[in-house]
Amino acid sequence: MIRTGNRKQNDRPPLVLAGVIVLFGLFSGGINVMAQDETELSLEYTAEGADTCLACHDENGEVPVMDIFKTPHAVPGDARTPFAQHQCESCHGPGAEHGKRLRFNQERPPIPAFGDNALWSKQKQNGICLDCHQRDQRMHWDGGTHERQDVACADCHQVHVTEDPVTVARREAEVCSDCHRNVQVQSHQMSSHPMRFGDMACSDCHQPHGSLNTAMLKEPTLNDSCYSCHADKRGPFLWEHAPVADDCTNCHSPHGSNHPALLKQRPPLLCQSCHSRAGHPSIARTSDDLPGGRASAFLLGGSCLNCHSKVHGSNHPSGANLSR
Amino acid sequence: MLTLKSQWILPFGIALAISPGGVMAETDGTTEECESCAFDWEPRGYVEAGILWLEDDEPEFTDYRGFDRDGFFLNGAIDVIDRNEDGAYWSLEGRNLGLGSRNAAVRAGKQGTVDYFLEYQEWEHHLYDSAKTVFSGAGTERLTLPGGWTRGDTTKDLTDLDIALRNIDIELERKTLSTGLQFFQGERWDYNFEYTADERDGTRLTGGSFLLRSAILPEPVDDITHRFDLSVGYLANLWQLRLAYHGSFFDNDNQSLTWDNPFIVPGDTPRGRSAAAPDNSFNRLMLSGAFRPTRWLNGSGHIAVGRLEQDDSFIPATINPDIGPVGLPRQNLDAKVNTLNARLRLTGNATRRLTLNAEGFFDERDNDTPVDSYRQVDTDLFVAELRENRPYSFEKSGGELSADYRLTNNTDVSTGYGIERSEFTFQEVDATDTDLYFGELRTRPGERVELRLRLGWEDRDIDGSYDPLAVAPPENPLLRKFNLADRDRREIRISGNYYASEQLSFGLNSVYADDDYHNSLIGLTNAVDRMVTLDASWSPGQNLNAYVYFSRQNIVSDIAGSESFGRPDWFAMHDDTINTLGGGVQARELIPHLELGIDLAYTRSRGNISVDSRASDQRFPQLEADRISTRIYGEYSVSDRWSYRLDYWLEHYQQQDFFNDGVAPDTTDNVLTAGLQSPDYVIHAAGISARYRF
Repeated sequence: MIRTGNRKQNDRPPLVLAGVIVLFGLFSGGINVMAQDETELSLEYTAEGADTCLACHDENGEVPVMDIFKTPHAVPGDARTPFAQHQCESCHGPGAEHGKRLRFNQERPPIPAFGDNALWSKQKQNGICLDCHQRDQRMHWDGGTHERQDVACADCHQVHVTEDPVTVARREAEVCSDCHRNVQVQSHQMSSHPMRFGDMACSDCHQPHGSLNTAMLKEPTLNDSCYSCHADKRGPFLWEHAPVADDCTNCHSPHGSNHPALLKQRPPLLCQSCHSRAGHPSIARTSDDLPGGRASAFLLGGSCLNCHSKVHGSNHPSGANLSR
Repeated sequence: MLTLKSQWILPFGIALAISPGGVMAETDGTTEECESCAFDWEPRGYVEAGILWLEDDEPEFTDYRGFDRDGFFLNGAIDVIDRNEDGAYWSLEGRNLGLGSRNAAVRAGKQGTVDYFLEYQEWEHHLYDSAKTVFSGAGTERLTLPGGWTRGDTTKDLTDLDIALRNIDIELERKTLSTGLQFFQGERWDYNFEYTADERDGTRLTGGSFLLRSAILPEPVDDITHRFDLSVGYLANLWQLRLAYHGSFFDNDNQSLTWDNPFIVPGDTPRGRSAAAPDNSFNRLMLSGAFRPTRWLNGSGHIAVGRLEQDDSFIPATINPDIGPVGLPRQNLDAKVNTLNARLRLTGNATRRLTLNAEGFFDERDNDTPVDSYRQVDTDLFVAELRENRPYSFEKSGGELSADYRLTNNTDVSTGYGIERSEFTFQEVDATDTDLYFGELRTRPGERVELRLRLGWEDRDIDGSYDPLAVAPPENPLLRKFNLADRDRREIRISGNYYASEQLSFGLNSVYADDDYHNSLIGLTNAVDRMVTLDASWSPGQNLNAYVYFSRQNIVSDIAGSESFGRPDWFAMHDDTINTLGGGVQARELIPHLELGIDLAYTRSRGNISVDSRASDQRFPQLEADRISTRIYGEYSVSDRWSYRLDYWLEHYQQQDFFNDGVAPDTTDNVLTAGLQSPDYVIHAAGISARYRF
């Protein structure tokens, strides 16, 4: 709560603040931005709108465009959509210069946005999309990992097709793997989430439009992400296994693993990374424990999990050692 | 009050005056006529029907694909959408409708006004079909041995074993029904409601022990999670807020699993009982927001307050009739965990070249679960010591300051420094402090080349001493649990692209991460993860795309242990290497009216485990998994409306896993295993279908 009743009013701080902001703005690019915008203001829209564009850009061009008329962007009845406004130029920017008749040997000027040698910066082009698509999940775009890495909306999205692949769960990973191939290949490992069948999409866990959370996750914590589908592991249990509640990735590799259940290592070594109590947990399990030798249950089958099966926690009154 | 407001109006007014507005704000809202625009207001889409054939129902192949047997399957798909010029629409989608893994969705609404959806999805998760068990009642909470079962001291003494063993499929089915409604009130407000019911049914394997004897059991899975998400959002010109509620309610139909004891064990008991995952609920309220007062400054954040509760009734401490009732301090745990998660990020463009970022976070898990002493009955056999439960809490907070600087039009550098403090309860350490630094270079030395180099340092130190928890038998005092231990992490990431032409590009992505647990004598002492991925794509036109990639990942972990309960006397190395080679081609109209596609992936995994102990220096048999997956399809359009499609899958999978291979149910003396065997197969599957477009 701000209490102002007893505070001595002083006009100097806001004036100083105003000065700082003005100077900050001027010297940090404000003048340049204004100058740039003046240039942009000189750009004019075509007289005929999309009719001008479609005279050259049709289904037989290098980039077929006509399928946009089957998409939500081309709904004149929805006042927010590009085709309720300047049609193609709502997104591509004023195109009179680009669309004008050329003199002999004259190079065609580029379209301001979303084209070869586009005039506008990637950030400004993103701004065109974000002007309409800024709610909810795009709230954290600014300053997010993709924004800082100069990823453009058009790097992932296609708007001139009936079905934008990245918005279709079974095709989304194809798009993400253009940059994250190292993650996509892990879905081919021995144990993985059902990514390669398209039943699970990257965006089931991650928020590509920006997130404040670790690894651009949708949920506030990594464990909350896992609990979305594995609520049985959430507890809280009477006998907790603290590393579970702490971070599922202490033991699991979510994108794929060479071991069952997405484990980072095989038990018993995985368990012995943290447990060396006197007695059987501290014993080295060697090839003498294989079927040709001792055939030890401390190694074979589920190893430690043969008995301590409640590794995610137990709610049994006698389950302190996670075997009930 | 007026005076107070003017304090802020003036500076912000000036700042806003020199801040350019949004790009779309330049539009004047006029709708232009368009004669060439081919608006499409008719229902369109396709229906598809066909037959699939599967050679064999190997679970490794059928897992998630939805084949529950071999042979022929009728299959179908549908995708229809109807949109009118007012923005009203409806759509219907269905995929793999004849298979066990399928989904269907209906959507309807009016753009910018209201959206509604109803979606249903089924997954079949096939785990094992070679599992063996002697128990009847799989899928229920009561597993019984055959009548007249002769119990024995070891598996070798189970004389009825061979007769009683039978195969059992271990599989899970997940059905998810979700529905949601979103509507907008004017240009500012939007409201969302979503409900999901996520139901699981099936079995999985678990261990049920009696002292040092155990049996692998088919544990029933029958639970449902109800999730509710409601939110309201407000969008202003320079800021937005969203208030969201999330509720998740896990309801397990199973309370426990009871199984007959196949062994004769000291203390003896005819059966054992374990607890199933308890019902629980999680409620969370989250306020998130973003503001962008000028082009040069923006910020966003969220704060979430949650409560996790669990009050499922306890089952008895034992069902051993010889021990009788054992008193419990309470009838249920009455567990309550309060969570608080907060994040804030500020980004400011200090100059045209310099961007400054500041981030902070706070995560708390405050476990209010009551602490009591519970008399332990070890594996339903012996009355043992009293144990106090240790409700785990933590508090993690930290922040990061970083800067991005544009050196040239083609080169950016970034650097940052962060701190993190984690405090724990009921752990060996009270707190850890982490310092992290990073530097990054992103450059485009030419029009055809992009490079990115990132170096990261992270030093985590225990604040105070590492004091092993009091347990019996005691923990080796030289052990350091790796999630709490002192750790130096070094990370190098190099990635880049080379665009040989507009059609041909090459990519590189590599990661090197080294975790050095420098004060850990026992436990995980070092972990290194190296990965390099190379890929190329060629797209000479809209009708031809080809890609190829190769990836190699090597993960090495060093673990030390002590059999003598002193200094380390054995050292193990866990070394996994996974190579993946893949590629594909998609071609349209190479032959008129024909689309062809092929995807190929080969994954070769090798795992080596060696243990160097006082007695021996030994390497285990290699863990191997080789998978070759091929998918070929062709679709021939006989007209604008009709096309026929042929799909073919070939998968070869071979695995060698010494943990299971050659381990029959009675191979180990003291664990009656499920006799799992590694898959080794070559499978063909094919499908033919007809598609009608409209």
